[in-house]
Amino acid sequence: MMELKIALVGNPNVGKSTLFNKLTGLRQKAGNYPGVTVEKKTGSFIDGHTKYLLIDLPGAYGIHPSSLDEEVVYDVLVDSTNPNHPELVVVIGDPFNLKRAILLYQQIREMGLPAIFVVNMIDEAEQAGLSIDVAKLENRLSTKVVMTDARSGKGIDALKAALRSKPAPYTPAFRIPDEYASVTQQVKEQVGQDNDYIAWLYLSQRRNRHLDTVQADTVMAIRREYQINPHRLQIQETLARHSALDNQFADVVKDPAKIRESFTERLDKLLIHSLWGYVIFFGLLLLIFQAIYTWSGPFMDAIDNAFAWLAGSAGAWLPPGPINGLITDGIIAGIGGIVIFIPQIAILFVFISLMEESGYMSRVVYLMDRWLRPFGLSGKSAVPLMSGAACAIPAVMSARTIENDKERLITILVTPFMTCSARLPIYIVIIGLVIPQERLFGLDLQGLVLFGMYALGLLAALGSAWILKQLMKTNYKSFLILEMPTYKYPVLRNVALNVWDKTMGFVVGAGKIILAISVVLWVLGSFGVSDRFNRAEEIVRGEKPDLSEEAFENEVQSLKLEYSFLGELGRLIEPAIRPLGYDWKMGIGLIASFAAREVFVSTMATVYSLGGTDDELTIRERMASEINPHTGRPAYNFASGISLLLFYAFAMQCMSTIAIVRKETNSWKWTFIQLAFMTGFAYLAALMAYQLLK
Amino acid sequence: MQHKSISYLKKGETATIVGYRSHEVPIKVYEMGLLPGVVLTMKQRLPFKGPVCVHIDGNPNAIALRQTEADLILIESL
Repeated sequence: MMELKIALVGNPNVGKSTLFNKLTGLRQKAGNYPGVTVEKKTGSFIDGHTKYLLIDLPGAYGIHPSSLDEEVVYDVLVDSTNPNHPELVVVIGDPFNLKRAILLYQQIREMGLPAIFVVNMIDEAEQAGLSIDVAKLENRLSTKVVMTDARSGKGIDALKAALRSKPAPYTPAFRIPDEYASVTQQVKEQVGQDNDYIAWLYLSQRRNRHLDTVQADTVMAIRREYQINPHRLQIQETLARHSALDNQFADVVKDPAKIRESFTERLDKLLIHSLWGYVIFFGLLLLIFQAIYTWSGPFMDAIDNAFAWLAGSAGAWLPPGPINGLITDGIIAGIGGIVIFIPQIAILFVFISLMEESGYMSRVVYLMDRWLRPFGLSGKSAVPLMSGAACAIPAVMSARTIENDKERLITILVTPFMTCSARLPIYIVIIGLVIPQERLFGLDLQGLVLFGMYALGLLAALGSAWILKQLMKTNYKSFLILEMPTYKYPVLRNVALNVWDKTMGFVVGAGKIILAISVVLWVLGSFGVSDRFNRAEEIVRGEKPDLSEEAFENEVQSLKLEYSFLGELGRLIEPAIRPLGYDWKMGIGLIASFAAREVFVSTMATVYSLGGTDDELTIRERMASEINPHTGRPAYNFASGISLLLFYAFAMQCMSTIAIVRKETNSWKWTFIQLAFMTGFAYLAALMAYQLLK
Repeated sequence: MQHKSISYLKKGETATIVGYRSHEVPIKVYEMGLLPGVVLTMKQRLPFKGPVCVHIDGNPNAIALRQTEADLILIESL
């Protein structure tokens, strides 16, 4: 079977991802918020005797990038050795912004790539009374033009058929300006490039990452010699193309109703109103958080009961002992501790997807820009910060649409302060242990403290953003130029698939870590080399000869734990955490949490069950009855509880986030600074809280 | 003659773009179609010098600009 590599390229908000989903059937996210398609998405389908391999490139307005995801488009298209370099490009435009799409089409053809042209959203155009002369357009573009409506599936078959067509020969629309003719020639000769336009792009792009160092140095030397300002070249090209387009394509689109007040404009009068816009946005945020906590209640209870039953029956079925503890308290309880958060994460992602799909998210960017700018952030940071309330990993990735390097870096560095769903299990357990179940001004005190933890996360994020803004310098000007597309009914299948992907990604990722850590902890806690570990029975019998059988077993177990590898590790860090109010057992929880904070509760369960034989108690009851050996007070008292809450609020305890920050910033320096700053800050906050409250 | 910029437009006012204040205008301004000769309408301004929202004639999508970008684009009132 023949294989053909195809790239989908298009302006943002033209329904490119929906088209991609329709073509490949691959379950994907589609939307109109710039930022939905930042990741590389590939898929395939078979038509006739050909297998088509599709890559969905990020949305771009032209070949000159102004953000990282737009750079991907240039990198893939200019470099014929790039593994994603296509054999055919499909350029997608929308009927209301045809010129913009044609401009991109011209640039791609002039780079020497064959391309066909798709006009999507024709239903919307027809409703508005807009008509497009396809024959004329085909003639002027020298290629096949297909009209589609990706939402209804109209024109998809025609598009599949068009992929087989051979685009006609193309004459460049943009002539290299005379004053640059000789320098472009020089680039061609010295870099070994035979395409005029690509040589021009070498001069006009800020970065040419695909060139080797010799070639890149050659381009830089030529630029310096002729004092070429890349930005001016880009502007010159774009202006020249646009003015030619105005003449050439004036008769292709017929728009009889130039003046119309659309549904979108009427809705925007309210949704981006200088007062009501904010009222509605914050109302919506309240609704989201309300929904997360109330709608999820019954589901969470059901999951809780199911896992309690599972742990109970497994515990009864398995022989008693440490393996029983590992499976029931470590693995089943640990997995249950993650599964229980599925309803909350799913509800949050339902809202975020709906906001992206409908076009409301770009209004949020518009509304929030003014208020995030003083902190060195941009309106576009609102999306990562909001997503950070679910999970920092997709949130950090969604920062790619921020054009300004400094704003993007600050956004990435502060997003992990937002209260992610992994912090919730710890907050809920600890608040339940140390905050009395009382009412304050008619409000539930525990709920208020939980809300306070969210506010604290936001404050920490904004505060550290402000500090970073003072410390960092930037050469690039910050700007906000944002398209706010017309409102659309969300494609519900897209929302459902997106929620499924995000939720399962979280559960599977966290589940694997919990499983691995539970097993590692169990091994470390069940073995040891020291004398006191190996002769535990003798020692207990010698020190306390008149214990009952059960008390004797308990004593042996806890002595063994204390001198196991795990206990040695906990006692090793105990001097550092004692001032925060924690004992060595909690130290083990902290160590395990550096892989992922959500494992704290299951780790404590493993630790306490290793140290005792009583299997009747739930994790919470065990934690409540635990006594700190140094103070003689409950291990989870008010002071140490607050100290723990603060530590978990601020510390960077998530390997996956660290990995993704390293990848997105491409810098070990910033990754390390973030880790050190967050954890150092957490330590100081926890220290002060405990010392003041104890 | 000194031209005004987009940021001087009042809500509901319409104007034609005539040029730019400097050469350092982000490429996105051009790519979005904020080009000389284009007619646009100020739809909305946010308080405290927040971003503005303009509509290009015939285009149902809106464009949001910060004051600093709006200041770079020169206009002639209609």
